[in-house]
Amino acid sequence: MTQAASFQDRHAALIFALRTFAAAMLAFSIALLLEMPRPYWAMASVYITSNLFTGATTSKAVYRILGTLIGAAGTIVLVPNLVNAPEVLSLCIALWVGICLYLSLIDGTPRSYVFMLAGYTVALLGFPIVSTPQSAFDIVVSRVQEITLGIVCASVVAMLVLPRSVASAVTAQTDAWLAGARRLAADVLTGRGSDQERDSERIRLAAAASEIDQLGRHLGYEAAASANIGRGLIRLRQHMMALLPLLGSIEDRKLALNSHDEVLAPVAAICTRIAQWLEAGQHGGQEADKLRAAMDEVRPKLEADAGWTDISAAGLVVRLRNLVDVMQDCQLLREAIADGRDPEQLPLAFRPHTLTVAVPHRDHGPALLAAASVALSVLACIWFSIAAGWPDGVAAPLFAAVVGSLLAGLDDPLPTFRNFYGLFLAVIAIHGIYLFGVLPRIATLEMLIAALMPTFLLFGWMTARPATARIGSMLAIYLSVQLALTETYSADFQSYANSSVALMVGVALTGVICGIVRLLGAGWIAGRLLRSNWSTLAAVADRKSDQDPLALAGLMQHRLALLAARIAVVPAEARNDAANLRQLRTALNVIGVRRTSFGLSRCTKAAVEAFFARLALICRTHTAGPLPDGLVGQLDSTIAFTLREPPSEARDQVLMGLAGVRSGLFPQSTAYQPQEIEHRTAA
Amino acid sequence: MKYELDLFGVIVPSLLLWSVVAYVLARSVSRLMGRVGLYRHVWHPALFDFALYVCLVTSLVYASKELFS
Repeated sequence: MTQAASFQDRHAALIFALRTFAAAMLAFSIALLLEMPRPYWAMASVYITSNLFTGATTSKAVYRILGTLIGAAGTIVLVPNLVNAPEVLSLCIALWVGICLYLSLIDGTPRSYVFMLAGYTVALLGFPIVSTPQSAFDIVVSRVQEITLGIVCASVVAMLVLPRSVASAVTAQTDAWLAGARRLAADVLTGRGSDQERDSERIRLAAAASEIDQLGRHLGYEAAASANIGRGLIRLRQHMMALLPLLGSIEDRKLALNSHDEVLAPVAAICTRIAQWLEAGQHGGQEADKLRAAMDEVRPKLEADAGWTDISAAGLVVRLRNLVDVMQDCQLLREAIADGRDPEQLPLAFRPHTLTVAVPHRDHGPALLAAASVALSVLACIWFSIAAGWPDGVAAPLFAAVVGSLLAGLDDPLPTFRNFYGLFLAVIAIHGIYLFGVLPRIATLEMLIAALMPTFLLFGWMTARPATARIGSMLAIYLSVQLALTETYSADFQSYANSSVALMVGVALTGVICGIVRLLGAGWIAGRLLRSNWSTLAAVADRKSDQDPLALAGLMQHRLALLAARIAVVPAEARNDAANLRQLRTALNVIGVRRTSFGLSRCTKAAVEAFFARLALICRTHTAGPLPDGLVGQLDSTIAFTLREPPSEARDQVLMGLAGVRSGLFPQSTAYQPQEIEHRTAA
Repeated sequence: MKYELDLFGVIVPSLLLWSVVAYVLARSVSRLMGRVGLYRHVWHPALFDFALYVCLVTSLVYASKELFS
């Protein structure tokens, strides 16, 4: 069993290439047998839908069929009605492509595929039938049939031949993630490694968690995955989301205590024990219980004259306890997933009420700009083919829509476009060799399959490897479309030259226009991401946004994952803030303080709210760098106010929350001085 | 101007030839400019490259009209 699994993992790329080629040829042969007019569309759509994981193919298939149907409906509505006004028709198609692409970019989940396909299907189906609008309905229907046949073949073959399930992939990635988090936690607790190393490890973990999210969305489409596994993974993901901010706040609170050895010594001893417990990997329940008991002993009582060190130490111990709880929960959940048990029966210490996790970050500006650039490219291609009086040029806007849509997700598409020019020249060359060198000698279907095999196996193999995935799938898709294999061989240099020139014109114009319209690249998007964190914090401090801690954690960690892809253009000072999730932790502390401040006296509550209002005001315009010093002063006097409250659980909670805000937002400023503040407030 | 060229028995517009020639020229001009450092004075490099290309195509077409008519 393990032998077979490892074989499958080692040769995953080769198996994928063989399986996809088999599916493509199956679809092509069935299409020939059923005498469909353009059998090559079935073959191309196999390559468009195929994915390394089974569940991903099934969900992609559902999305693709939906998208194709929406696009086909759009074509039937638009083309026959507007065929007498080519300008209006081309404007409508360009707008349709742009709007669908915008929706798909905003959505950002695997479901966005529906919108993207609905967009370029109209270009794919609409432009070739502009000259023969009377048969529009028949052509659209047969194209939908061919595409659906290809999708079904891809799904069936992927499910039957050596499937790789999404559930197992998600579990493996989650295990790797948890191992990384344990290492990071041990590093934070014992102070190993440099700040930069820990920051880059945090950023890597956030990006990996976002990838697990994306993959996890395919789970619902996989029949083999039980509901228990799905729920268990969601619970596990919630715990993972709590881990990164927890580690950041432990690190900052330890830093705040660094100069006070008499308090730090017992806490440091516990830190070392937790680190050993984490590194051992065997999360025994008894050891965790012993750790919890030891922490209860160490936690200082907050008396009325409690100083900064006591507050910080108490906060640190509470966070350490949370860390032990979350880590033990993770272990329990992981075992439950392996056995297929129901996660709701487990004795979890940390159990949010909802099962929702991922709240994605959505940025309308860049999405709108990218969609507009593709719509403009489509318009420019149509205008070019009309102005040049080139009727076969209708293929150019078609290619512009497809290439533009596929590359719209990139921050700076220009370098990729430059690579693609060479790629499409390669497609044209291979097409020419097949069309004039190989295909004339082929008489039977078996010979055709044998002739296509080496090329498409190579492309499939490239698609399966992450480094060449985009190039491989582009080559396979465009070659199968350009070859346009049908029942009879008809080589014609004129149509070859026309389609090749149209391909190059479409790609080149799209590249030029995307370069002109999308002047602002990755730096602009990264800047918007950084600013959005501050404005979210301002909204939370102002009570203007959602106060659900889990949703906030999901949103801000998704932003960190998005930043991870653009980390090269993020300024160094903002990088540390982002990696430590300072804004997120402050927002969580603000929510925590608000929830527990009900038991306090009115004037303390007023002081806390006044501080939050000022924080909101400053954060609304803040972009990077340290916050103004006056804010620390106000925070310190708020802490002094709260200290004078009669001792209660609510007071301790509020104090620890405020201390968390202080160590999170002002890690560099001088330590809190109780006497001075007492003096100032008394004066 | 010769409007059409005979390419392996297919008649293609001469604009195709000129656009390819202009592309090669524009690439070499922009590479030269990059080496000299003139792009520091350009606000929008992509727009500038495109404009340069259009200028080159246009001048090639007009020049060919003068020379080959």
